[in-house]
Amino acid sequence: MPIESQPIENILNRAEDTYEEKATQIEIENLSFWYGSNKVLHHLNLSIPEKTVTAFIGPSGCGKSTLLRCMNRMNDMIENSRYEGSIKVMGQDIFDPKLHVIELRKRVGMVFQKSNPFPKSIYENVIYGLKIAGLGEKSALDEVAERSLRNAALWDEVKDRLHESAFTLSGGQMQRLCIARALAIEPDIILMDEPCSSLDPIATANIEELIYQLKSRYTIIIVTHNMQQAARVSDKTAFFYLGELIEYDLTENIFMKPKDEKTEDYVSGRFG
Amino acid sequence: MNSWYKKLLSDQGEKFVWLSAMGLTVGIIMITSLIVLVLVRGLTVFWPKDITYFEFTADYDNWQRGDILAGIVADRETDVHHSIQSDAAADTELKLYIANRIYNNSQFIWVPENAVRMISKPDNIFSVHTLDMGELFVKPLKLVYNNGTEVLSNSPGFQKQLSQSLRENNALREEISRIERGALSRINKELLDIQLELRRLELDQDFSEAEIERIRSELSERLILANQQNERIQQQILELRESLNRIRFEFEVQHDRQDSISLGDIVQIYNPNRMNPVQKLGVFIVSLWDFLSEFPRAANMEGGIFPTIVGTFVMTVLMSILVTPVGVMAAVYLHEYARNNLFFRLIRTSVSNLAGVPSIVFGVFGLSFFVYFLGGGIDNIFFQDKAALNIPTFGTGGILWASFTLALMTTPVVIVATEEALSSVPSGIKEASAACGASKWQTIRKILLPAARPGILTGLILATARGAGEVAPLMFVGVIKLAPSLPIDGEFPFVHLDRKFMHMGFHIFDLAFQSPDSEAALPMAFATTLLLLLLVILMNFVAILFRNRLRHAYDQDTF
Amino acid sequence: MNQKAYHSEETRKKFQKQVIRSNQIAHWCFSLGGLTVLASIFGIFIFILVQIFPLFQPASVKKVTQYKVTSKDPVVIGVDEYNQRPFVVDRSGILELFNGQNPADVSSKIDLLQLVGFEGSLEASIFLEDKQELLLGSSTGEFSLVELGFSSEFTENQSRTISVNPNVVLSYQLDADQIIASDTSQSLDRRVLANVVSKGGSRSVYAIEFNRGRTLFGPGDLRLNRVVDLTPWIDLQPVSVKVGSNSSDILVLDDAGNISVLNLSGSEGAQRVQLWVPSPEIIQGKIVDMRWLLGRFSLILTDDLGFQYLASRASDSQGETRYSITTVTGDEISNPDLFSTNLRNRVYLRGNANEVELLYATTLRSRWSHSPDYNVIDTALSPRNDALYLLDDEQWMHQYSIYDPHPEAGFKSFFGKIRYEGQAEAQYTWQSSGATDDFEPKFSLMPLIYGSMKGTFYAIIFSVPIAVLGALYTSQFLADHYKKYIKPLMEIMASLPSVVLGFLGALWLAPIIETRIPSVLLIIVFMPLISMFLGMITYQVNQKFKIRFRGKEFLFLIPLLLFSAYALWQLGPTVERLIFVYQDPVTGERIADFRLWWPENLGIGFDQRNSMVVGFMMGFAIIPLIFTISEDAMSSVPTHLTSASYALGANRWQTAWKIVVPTASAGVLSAVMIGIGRAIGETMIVVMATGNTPVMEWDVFTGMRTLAANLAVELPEAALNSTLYRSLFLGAMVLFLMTFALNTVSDIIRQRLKLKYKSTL
Repeated sequence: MPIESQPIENILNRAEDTYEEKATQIEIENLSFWYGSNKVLHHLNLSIPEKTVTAFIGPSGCGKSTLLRCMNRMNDMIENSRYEGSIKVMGQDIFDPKLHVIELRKRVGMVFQKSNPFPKSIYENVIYGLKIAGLGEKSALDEVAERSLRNAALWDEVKDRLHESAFTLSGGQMQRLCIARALAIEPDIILMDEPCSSLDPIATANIEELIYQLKSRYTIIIVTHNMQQAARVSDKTAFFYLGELIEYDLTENIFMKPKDEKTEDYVSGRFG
Repeated sequence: MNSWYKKLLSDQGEKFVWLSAMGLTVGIIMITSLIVLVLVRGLTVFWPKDITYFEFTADYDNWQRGDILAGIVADRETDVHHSIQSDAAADTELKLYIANRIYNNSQFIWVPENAVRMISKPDNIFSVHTLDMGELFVKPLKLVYNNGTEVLSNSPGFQKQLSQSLRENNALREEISRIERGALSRINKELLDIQLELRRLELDQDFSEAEIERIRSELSERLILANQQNERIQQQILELRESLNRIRFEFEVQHDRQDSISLGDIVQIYNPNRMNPVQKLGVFIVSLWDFLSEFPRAANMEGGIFPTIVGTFVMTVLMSILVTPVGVMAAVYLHEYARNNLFFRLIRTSVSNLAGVPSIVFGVFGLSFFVYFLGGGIDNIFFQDKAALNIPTFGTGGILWASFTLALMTTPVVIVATEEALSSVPSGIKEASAACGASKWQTIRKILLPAARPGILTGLILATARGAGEVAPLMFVGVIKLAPSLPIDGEFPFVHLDRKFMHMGFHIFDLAFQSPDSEAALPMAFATTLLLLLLVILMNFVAILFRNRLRHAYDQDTF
Repeated sequence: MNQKAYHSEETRKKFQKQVIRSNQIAHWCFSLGGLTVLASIFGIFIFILVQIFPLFQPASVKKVTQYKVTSKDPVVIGVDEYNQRPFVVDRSGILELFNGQNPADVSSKIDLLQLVGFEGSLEASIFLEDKQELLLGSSTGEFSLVELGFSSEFTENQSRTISVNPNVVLSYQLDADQIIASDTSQSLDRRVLANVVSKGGSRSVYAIEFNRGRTLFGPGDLRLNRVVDLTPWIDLQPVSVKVGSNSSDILVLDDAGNISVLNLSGSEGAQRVQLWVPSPEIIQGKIVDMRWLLGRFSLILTDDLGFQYLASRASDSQGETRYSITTVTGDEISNPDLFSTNLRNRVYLRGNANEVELLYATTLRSRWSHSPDYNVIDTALSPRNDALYLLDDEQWMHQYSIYDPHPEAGFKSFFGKIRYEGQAEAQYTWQSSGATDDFEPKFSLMPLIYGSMKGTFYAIIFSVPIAVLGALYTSQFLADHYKKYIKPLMEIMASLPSVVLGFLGALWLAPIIETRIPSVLLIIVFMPLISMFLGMITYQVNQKFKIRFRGKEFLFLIPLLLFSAYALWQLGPTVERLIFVYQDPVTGERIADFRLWWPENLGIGFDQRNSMVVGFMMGFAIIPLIFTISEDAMSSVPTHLTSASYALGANRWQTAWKIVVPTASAGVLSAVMIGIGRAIGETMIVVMATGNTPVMEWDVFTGMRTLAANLAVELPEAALNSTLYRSLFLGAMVLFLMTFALNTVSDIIRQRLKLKYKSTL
């Protein structure tokens, strides 16, 4: 039975360890966001616990990716965008002018929908984050590179061709390389914007397995279209619709007993 | 019958396909025939051609029947006889290259084919390349040394003696030019400096009487010393010239006239009719090397074009040094830092328009802004004493201003190419770098520029190729017909930015249109054209290789 | 929290601060650097504007000072070349000199009468402006011409002082007691004085001729040759007289407003060449005054209603030189009795008691007009047109400074039709330098713009078909493995230096083509036909023997076209003998020579370096440009469009012509625009390959002078900041705007093309 077509019910009970409440890591208060003149996010309030996997689901264009990109201020690169409200990461408001954006992005890593390794060797890709943070000694870099690639479950496949171009990797390997690159700077939070949307089922399974292992040490927020994926990996799920947070609860509750009627329609596949 | 005709016409539009094929074919024929023409006309200039004797079968011009003339058939022109009534055959004319410019007024004569008969290719006729009298076709008689001994041309030792003394003369000439360019030019500079100081002494009055006296005596002392040195050097050069002219070369021209010139005036001498192709190749290479390494002589119609090669090279290097940072900086600014509101979008389109603006406009700007305005300013600030004697250093055209003008002209080309290269970098990579906590400048320095480097280099080389081939603007900002000295030489400060220079492109224009005898200058013009063409094509070739490397690097990734 | 094992917290913080600072620095220096580079590039546009701006400014005239004049009854005022010694001459022959350096000085006086030594009293005196000479007449009929004789010396601190010592040039005797009008002109070997005098109420006109002998040391002194009485040739009462520049034409205006033109040749000592009756349709009133302009070639006629007319001498259809009125000056000015000219250009001053105006004669544009708060009784313009003196009736002479460097410039003179001296009718002429020193520069840019258009037209009609057809073939029909050779070849062609093209065009191609025009015409006509014929043949052959031509057509075409070109080249002369036969009117010999046939049949010239040569050589510069851009546009047409057309059973030409070309038409059009932009801006090819004659003819076998070539040829010699120098910049600006507009339009088209494709992908 390929993992995709199993009913959500019997996926859920795989998460053996029952979920106990954790301290909140990210506090989003009354966040609204505009692209130029049109409002995309409407007064979101959300608090995301640490060391958990939170999934953002919802129909395309509901603003889940925009919210994700707000968390590491990626939207700053977009001309005449505007926000209101605040996002606190570990108590620190990320829009505070004193906090420089590169400081934030060292603590909040990100993996993109399309894998985007640098046109450099695998090794240089992984240690890029450290080199720009000022770490120079080769020994430390080698050690971090190995650890990150191991964490990204890619070490065995690339350990003997570290200095080959990153483009010689397959789609799944490239995405794991991007994850390794994000892990290398030892962030506290990892944002993943539909990481598996362009990958084949086997590669997707590897990524999901990796997320499951990383859960113990990192807070992961993943945006996905794939309901089974959300069910499989995430502890809590947030459902967005037209820029508003409809429902945010434990993943079982969202999938088994959704409170809001729209969530139920979406989860049961009637629209979206 | 008409079925065949109808069948022919129903050709499914193939005739138009072939018509479009004609478009491409004409293009290919044009460029290949141009390159072949320049290649052939350029190279044959140096290939020693056999000299034949012509005998006049009828009186023509000031030649009588029976006169013998040594020459080479340079061209054959069949001007179809136009008048309808007389059905005489088309009269073709021969363009004979008879050299001996000093004996008959021009090196080329047009002779009707039927008025002349080719008799023989004598093996004792020599082609002599002289310093200032152009090429001579002569029958050598003897060498006369100043101590009276003579070596007859038919004696065995003649050839060996001739080539041996020629080699000595070349060495002597080398020595003379080394002294003239080195010690002599230093002395002249010293004399000029002394004159400047004297002039400055007169100008400012704030020196006390005694002070003026002291400086004046000191200067006159230096003057005497300099003059002595000058004396010695002139003497040295005189001796060398003396030894150059110790041997006289006697020869016979056009059957009856005998004449003799000093062996020192001869640069190269060979006997084409008796040489086999390998020897001819040897002469070909030697004259090609002279063409590339020597200074021009006889109003640019003789000698080599070394200064133009140096001038073009130095200007092109200076230009690319100037244009690279400027162009890349502007492109990075436009691409990364500029907000893309209407104003910058307008700037972006107009920058690409500037690349299309005629180069003459940049020449005009260069002349007035760089030369008169900036140059004048620099002269007034740094070179007052020279300016007082109105010897402008930067206030007149020079290689610096030429490079500036061309840099300005090619900046738009570099900006457009760089921006294209920058925008060909997928935006995903920029975001990835930002996500890793890199600052904008780190992203640009470590990711964007390395990724766009091949594109930038292609743009730079295209711009340099365009700059190297440009002539129109240079006429205003520093290129001259004959530059006494090279922009770079042994003296301090080695690169003389204020000196005027010679440029290959302008040299072609000057040879073709401003030389006293354009017929004689034509071969030199073709040879220079060949060189310039090879230089430009080489640059383009390198640019194309880079572009393929760039395309190769991005081909096999997933996006 | 994950432990940051790799290095301590403070070093990380310190390094990060450094990164943030360097990022800030980079931001600043890129913004600054980028903006300065862009500004310097656009500096060209501003710089050219700055050079052009003064051309269109009116004269600036400012009051400088004024002098207290003592003489009651002034006859004339004037000044020397350096505006240092303004002077007033009164009726009693006293010359009053002022000091330009400090006007307050007391004026010095010279008694001219005493110098000339007249017995009787001074009856009349006339000032001859352009020679700074005074003609004095005594009551006993004695006349003498006095030259003011300004000379300048340099004092020890390099300042210039002007001394005045008048001397008598010549004197003669007429039995008359009053001079009505007088004029004089001199040429190398003689000098003619003409006077209208009255003796007891009746007026007569005398011409006094002095010859100048040639001595060893140059021109000798003047000796009276003869006095000719011109009165018999004048029908009515003479009013004024003028002597022409060649000191032989003498114009006498009579009180009916007609002008009789006499000259001193002929049997009875003089003859009338023309009775010039200005036609009533042009002249409103009756001519009452006539004045010479600089160079004594054109005249300003004034009628009694105050209208002024510009007249000049020009040879009419029969080759006779006739005076005629060329233009009317427009608004009239009530009884303009004040008139002054200068010695530098054709600016002249006209005015009356309370209004004064400076006009440029050729374009009749007003440079400055002013109504002073005093009434003016006499005016004077300085020889260098840099100072203006107005004498009022309260014995004050007001001095103004004039700054008018470019009187001849103006929109009309650059782009309008102007009738210059000696031209039969108004036309566009560009002539920047001439032989004589009072030559009038002509700066019409129209012939140059016409030349640019003509050069571009012939370049485009040659290059566009070849480039577009070639691009279509390469993008749609050429086999892929040839493509990687074609693109580099075209790029090399694009990088050919224009000086090489110009040189080959002028010295290699032009002589060859000159005698073989029929062959060239044959090739142009038959090459396409042969290619299409080959297309038809190969299709049939392909049907029968299945020889694969597809994708490799051009390989077969190269040898075939070369061979047919050679055949047509040889065929040329025979065709010439059949068609282009020229009948030599003198010898009757019938010569087959296109170069003679063409001018005879079409009445236009034929020269060796013509537009066909330029068009062909410019093709080398433009074909690759248009080719590459059109090829990109055509090959970026999405394949799903072409495959849809093939699916409907269209053959490859129909698909290409009906689908690909229309879709890519915007790209092709913008490519052609860029090609045109490049052709207009081309300099070296045009400078070398044409005769650079500024002529306005469409004919393909005559040359042209384009804006760019004009710049390259004229600028090296143009004097800095002169009108020629600035008008060249105006030419550069016109060129800049033309290429700018073309490129911008092509960019807009290309952007729209890109957007269109984005939507369909």
